[in-house]
Amino acid sequence: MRRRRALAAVTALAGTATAGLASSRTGNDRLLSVARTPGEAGEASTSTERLLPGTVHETPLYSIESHRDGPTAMVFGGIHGDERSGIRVAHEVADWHPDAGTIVVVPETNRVAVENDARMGTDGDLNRQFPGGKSPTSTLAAGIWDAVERHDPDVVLDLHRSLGIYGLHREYVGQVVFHSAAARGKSLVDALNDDAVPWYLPFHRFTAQESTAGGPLLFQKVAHELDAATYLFETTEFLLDQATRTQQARLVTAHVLALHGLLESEQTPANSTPSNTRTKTATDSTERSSETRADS
Amino acid sequence: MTTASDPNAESVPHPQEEDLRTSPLLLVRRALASPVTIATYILLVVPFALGWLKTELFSPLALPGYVLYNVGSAIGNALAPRFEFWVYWIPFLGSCYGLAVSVGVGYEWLRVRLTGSEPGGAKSADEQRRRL
Repeated sequence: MRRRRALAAVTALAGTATAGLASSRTGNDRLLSVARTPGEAGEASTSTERLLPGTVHETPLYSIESHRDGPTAMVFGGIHGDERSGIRVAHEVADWHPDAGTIVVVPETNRVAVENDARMGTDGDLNRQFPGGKSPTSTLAAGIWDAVERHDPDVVLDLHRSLGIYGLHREYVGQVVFHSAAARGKSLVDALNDDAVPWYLPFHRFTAQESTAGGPLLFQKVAHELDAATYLFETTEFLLDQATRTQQARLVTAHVLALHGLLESEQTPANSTPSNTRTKTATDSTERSSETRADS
Repeated sequence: MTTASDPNAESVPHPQEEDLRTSPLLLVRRALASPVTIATYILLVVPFALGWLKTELFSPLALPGYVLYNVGSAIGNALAPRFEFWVYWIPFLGSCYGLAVSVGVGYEWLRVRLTGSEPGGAKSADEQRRRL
């Protein structure tokens, strides 16, 4: 009997491992390949600048410009220094090749926090220092905002990681894409769920939440003052390992760029032109909105 | 000695079988470590544990454990928000066992009933014992 039970256990183990490997998602190799290799427009040109040079916050900003005109997208990683998936992907994006427009990426936005592997740097939570209609409340936030204004993005993506799942665990906002009114949150989460979340992990499906413009978060301030399509992406540590979180951050970045016409993709709708990212105002207070909660 | 192939075997219910019909407690005791209970427990825990170790190993087989763990963590988080999520492994394993025993009891109960209602009455005592 004991042998039979041991055999059953081993069979179950081997069976589930096989089933897991066989049913695992491969992501969207085609889209990522488009992002990583130069398209018909040829090699993009990359330039690097230093934000807040000579300070403890000094951090590189990469600007990757396609030869084809198009929108400007800014990608931020490391606003919270312990959210490694966003930092890793933002570093990768510095080597991507837009088919049109310009990608501006800051992989380690809060350099001190990243080096300490901590959520906050020297002046508290960086993502609460961008009040709408007012000046940023710290030196670092002011330096970041200065760069944002200079590059005047059409699209902004801020990469984050939460501990729990939004709606399931109080105080946590994982598996959500918060977005401004001008953004295409619903299309984005549909594409992301297709690529990155298998049907048998239903609680990990992403949801889109339109967020109030004018709050103290970077993506809210950009939406409020620059009228851009902005996104704040939250993956979760709950039941997802580092590789999966990184893959989800990678896919959301590629999809945002594709949806706004920076990457050529079959999934890119014909009307995704740079101009249509500014057709709606981000400050329409009558639109349905939800507050971005802690952890963002 | 009576054997299964003994043509003279009497159609008398085994005393233990009779007890099982009349005592739910005995049924539960039997189900605590029955093969069905253990198989259910393995099915609930092992596929989910593999996915917990490495997300790539999540499979459709992990869905029952996954749902149980998520619902449990949601309840736990609502009651005590400051616990880390790994803590929910303890109630998860307990509830998986509870569920597995329930399935085991259900199986044993069904089996005893079906055995009793077989055409021609009960089988020989030894055969019943083996099937138990």
